[in-house]
Order: sequence, then C-alpha cells, then structure tokens
Amino acid sequence: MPLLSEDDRKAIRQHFSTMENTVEVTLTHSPDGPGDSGAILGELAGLTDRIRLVTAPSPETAPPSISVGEHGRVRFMGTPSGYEFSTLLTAIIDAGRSGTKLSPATIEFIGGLREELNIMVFVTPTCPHCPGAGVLAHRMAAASPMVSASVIEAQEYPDLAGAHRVMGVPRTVVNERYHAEGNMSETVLVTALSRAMASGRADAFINLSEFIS
Amino acid sequence: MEFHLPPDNSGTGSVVDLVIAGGGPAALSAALYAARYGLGHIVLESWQPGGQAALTALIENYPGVPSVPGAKLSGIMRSQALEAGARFTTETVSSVEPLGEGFLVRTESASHTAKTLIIATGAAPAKLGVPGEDRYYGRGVSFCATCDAPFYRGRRVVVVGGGDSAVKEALHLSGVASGLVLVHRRDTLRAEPRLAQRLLDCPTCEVRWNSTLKAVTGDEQGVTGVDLETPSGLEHLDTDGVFLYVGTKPATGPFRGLVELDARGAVLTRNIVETSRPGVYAAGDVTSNGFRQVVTAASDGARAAWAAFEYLEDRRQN
Repeated sequence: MPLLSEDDRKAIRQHFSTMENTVEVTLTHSPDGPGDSGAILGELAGLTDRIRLVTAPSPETAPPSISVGEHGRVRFMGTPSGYEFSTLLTAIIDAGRSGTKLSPATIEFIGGLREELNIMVFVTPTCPHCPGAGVLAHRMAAASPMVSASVIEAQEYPDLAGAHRVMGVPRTVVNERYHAEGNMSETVLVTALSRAMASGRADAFINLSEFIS
Repeated sequence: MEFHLPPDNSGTGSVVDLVIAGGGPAALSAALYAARYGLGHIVLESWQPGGQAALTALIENYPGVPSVPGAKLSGIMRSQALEAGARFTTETVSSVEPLGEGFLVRTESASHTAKTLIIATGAAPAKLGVPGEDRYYGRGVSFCATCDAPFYRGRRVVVVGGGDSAVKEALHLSGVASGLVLVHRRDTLRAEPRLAQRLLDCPTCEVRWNSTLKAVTGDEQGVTGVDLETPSGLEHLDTDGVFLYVGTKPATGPFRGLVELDARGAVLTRNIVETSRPGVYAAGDVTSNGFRQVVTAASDGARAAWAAFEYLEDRRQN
C-alpha cells in the first residue's frame, strides 16, 4: 500500500509539473535497507521523470540521509515525514527549476562570502515553523558553492542534536558557532548573520538574536 | 505517517482584486470564499502554514469535526480552498501603502497591487519579559509544545498560563513528561471547563494557583529551574523546560499606520471585520474581536471575503 494518499500524489504531480530539469536525489541508508525514506523517495520518483533516484547503502548503521542535486550541498538527514516532507519536496522542486527564490539582499550576502558556510537546521516532523528555516538554508546552499546546508531530524540524530544543545526547533547552527532559535525571516536571519560575522567576535557560541536591531 | 505538502512559491507579484495576508484558519476561510465568489485574489502565507491552529495538538471544539490535530484541520481547510480555486504563495508581507484606489502590498521577494486587502496574519505568542526568558529560548524555554515535546520525554516541565492553549498543550506534554506543573496567576483556570477538569484529573500534573513566574534559571546547557512568586512566598522549582502560553501578540507590524490598532496592537474592527480604512478588512486572531477560536477565525474569514466582494461590487456599479 502506498504511503502517499491519492490526493497527495495529485498535488505533488502538480508541483512536479513545474520542474524543467532532472534532479539527482541520493539516499544513503544503513545496511538493513532503505526503509521508509526509500519508500517515500521511490513513490516520489514514480510521479515524475524529473527525479533520478540513486540509493547508496552505507556500511554503517545510521539513520537515512538524502542529498538533492549532484553538488551534494543540499542535504536532509532523517526520514522526511510530517512537515519535513514539505522541506524535502521543496528542495527537489527548487532544484528542478531555474533561478532562485532568495531575495536580492541574500544573493548579495552569499555572493560576497569569503569563508564557507556550513548550515545545520535541526527540526522535528511536528513543527510547522521548521520548513521555513530549512528551506531558507537549502536555498542558500543551492545558490552558492560557498554554502552547504543540512536539515536534520533531531530525534533521529539524538547525538548530533545533543552535541548542539537542541532543546527546541527549529534551531539553525552556522559554522558550529552562530545559532538562531525559531523561524527567523530571511531578511532577519541574513542581516543578523552578516552582522555577527563582521563583528569579529570569537565566542564559541554566538546567538544571532543579539544582532537583530 | 503524515505528509505535509509545501506551499507554492512563485514570488512573481500580481495585480488582483483582493490580497489575503495570512495562512491560518481566518485566511484559509477567506480564501475559500474569495475563490467561490470568483474574486481575483492571492493569499500571501508565510512559512508557518495553518497559523496558530497548526500548533495545537488536538482541536475538539470545531463543529462537525469531533477531534482533530490542529495541523490536520488547517490542512483540510487549505485543500478545500485549493479545490475551490484559491491561489497561494509563500511570502511574508513587509509593508502596505495606499496606491490610487487600492493598495501596494510589498513582501520580501515581490510586490502585489490589490483593490482590497484582508489582514489575517494572526498572532504570535506573547512573552512575559522575565529574566532568563530570552536567554534560554530554544534551550528549555518554548512557545510550541507540538514542536518541542519530543525533547522532554521523561523530563520535568513547567507550563505557564491558564487559558485554553496552556491547558491543551499541558495535556499534550503530560503524555511525554515525567511530571508537569502548571503555573497560573488566578485561582481558577480560564480554559473551557471540560479541558480544565481533564488537567485537574491528570495524575502527573499539579497546579500552582495564584502564582507567577518571576525568572527562568539555568546553566550553560539550558534551563534548570524557575522562580515563582506564590501566596506563600518565593519558591524555586527544578525543571527541564518552561512552556509559555500567556496570551498572544497580534502580528500587525506591516499594517501600522494603515489601519487603526488598539492598545494591544490588534486591528480595531467594527461589524466584526471592518477596519478604519475602506477596502481593508481583518479576520481572526489579528483583530480586537474578543473571542479567539478556530471557529470564530473561520467565520471572520468568510465575513471578510464577503465584505470585500460587496465593496468591489458597489464600486463596479457606482
């Protein structure tokens, strides 16, 4: 029995109809098989010829991780269910379209980067705020080779979430140093991040809310 | 396993009869009615589909739907609006200014011109303004039990508030937390009696009556406790998390100066959905209307779409 309902499949086909390019989606899974993530991605790939699905078993037992695009900079770690399904779907649809949905100010910011950005966004499937933060990070990564972004399902990666003190979602962590709580708007996040990076502060953890005027 | 689909994100701007700003039940209901009235419209929903309703674990008082997760109910509303022909885009309104006989609605990525506007941007959780609240936000202080409950499995939590939201989310959290203390500043709960009784009957829950939160305390890892002012004096409680449900703050920033607001910052309305500016209507939690429920938001949205339709019809005929 398919995981996606007929209504969902119909709506997803509609979304996929706007894709112009083929997108490579790579699922890395543990040795015991691709599991629910493999089933979900298989159903998605069955709804369009614009997805080229690659499955890669990992020798290690670990939760699934999904990479969108051949560049490998847009990643989803965990099972894409609940609200996180929309985050993954948006990453695939974005990759299949030309152009970017980022604002000119964000494009200017990432165009001027002199150090690479590694963005992690911790999420849960029951968090309606989370896709906003995840999609923004993915779009920044898709727009520049200087940025990579992983949206991480915190419950499936408890050690990683614990190491980054995640007690609430969405939590965005940039370069293991700058962190933002909640779903900040694109303008607010990018302004705060650019100010924080320009401040020259060397603290181990810098809360981006301090840089919002 | 549940799957939430992404909104559309064209970001190209539009010229329409009606812009509906918001993504919760008020906006979704307005979208349904606007589509059925054949109004050229666009719904600008930010990246929080379903509004506050989507943050509610279980809604039990929406007529015709006995018991449903908030996210599911708003998802059904959105699907119904889409089926009727509603058009959505994921954009957050940044400003609105009068333009000719209509309005210019700017977002981060596009501009829309409209003859009428429905403000249905809802409300965000209010803060208490106590020490530690900002410092530990995301590290033990939360405004969203639906999002963060999984981090409190087997842990102790404090919930602050006594209304429907506080009690509903406390009941949701009691299913995962090892112990829960509800802190309420009055001697009775304001929540509807059926919910209140369920909390009072919850074996792992207790209530601190006539008590207020004075501070959130913690260490480098996050929250470790709270300081309460109780009838018997100051009390410190050890806890791992603090969930705040102490009211809401209307999301009216972009509309300041466009329409009259009350002291709380809510859009002042008369006849339920009319604002101080002709052609601009308001619906749901963003308004000064007293009773804020999913059903009243949906009702406001329908009225607002009807009012916009009538306004446009009058102008066409005159």
